[in-house]
Amino acid sequence: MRLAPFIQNAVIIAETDAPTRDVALRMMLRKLRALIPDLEVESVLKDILIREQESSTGIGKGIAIPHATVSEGLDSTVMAVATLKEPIDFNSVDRKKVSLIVMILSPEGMADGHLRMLARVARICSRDAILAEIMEAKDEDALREAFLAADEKCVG
Amino acid sequence: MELIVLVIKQAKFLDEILTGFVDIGIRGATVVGGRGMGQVLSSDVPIFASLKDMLPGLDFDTHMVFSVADREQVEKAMALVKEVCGDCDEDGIGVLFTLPVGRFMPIKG
Repeated sequence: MRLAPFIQNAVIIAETDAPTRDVALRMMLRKLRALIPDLEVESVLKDILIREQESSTGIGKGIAIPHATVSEGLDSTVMAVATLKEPIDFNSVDRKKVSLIVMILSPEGMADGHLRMLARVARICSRDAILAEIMEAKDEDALREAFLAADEKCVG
Repeated sequence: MELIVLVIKQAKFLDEILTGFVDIGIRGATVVGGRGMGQVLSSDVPIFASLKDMLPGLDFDTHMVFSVADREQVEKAMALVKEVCGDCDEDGIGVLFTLPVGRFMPIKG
């Protein structure tokens, strides 16, 4: 599933100085609310954190992919991407602090697309050379371009 | 529709390939654990026990993946497997082939 159409419209935040996981996630959701006025930030954050309690979406290598399905206010899947100036604790599987967060929100009833997007992001981020290019991006445009280039390099 | 049969060693490849299957829209697959011929021969047939070094891939268990997919997904699946395993120069990583599906009936509870 190509990420390109979603990345084009994604909220991108480069080098944020958010000090904790929850602060970073809330900030990303608030930025998303600017695009989706009906998005209930605290409600979605709660759903994301419940998911994190089940098992962390910190998949290792400094990456986290928090995600949730949203019952109201969303017509299609949206993404927000943030890189962190200082890595933050995300209870990741490899215990490594996180410096790249890719948030995915989908409307309820779109499980297939949600899973495919999760898989796509996980695939892209699992490739060290591609991940290095993403991590090197210093501003929003460079980050968006790095994800678009990464998407082009992966089969699918 | 075609039945994809993938025989793959090394869990790291299996995880990446299955993640890729989700990405390309293959919604289900069955994974069965197994042992390769070389593993069986070298452990069960005494005459082959000393030939371990000549039989590739003996250190890894074998996984078989079965999935039914349409032609477009099969093409993507083959490209995906090449993408994941293609730059690995080890022998005996696995094999992928497809068979035509005569009839297909999803069973829903």
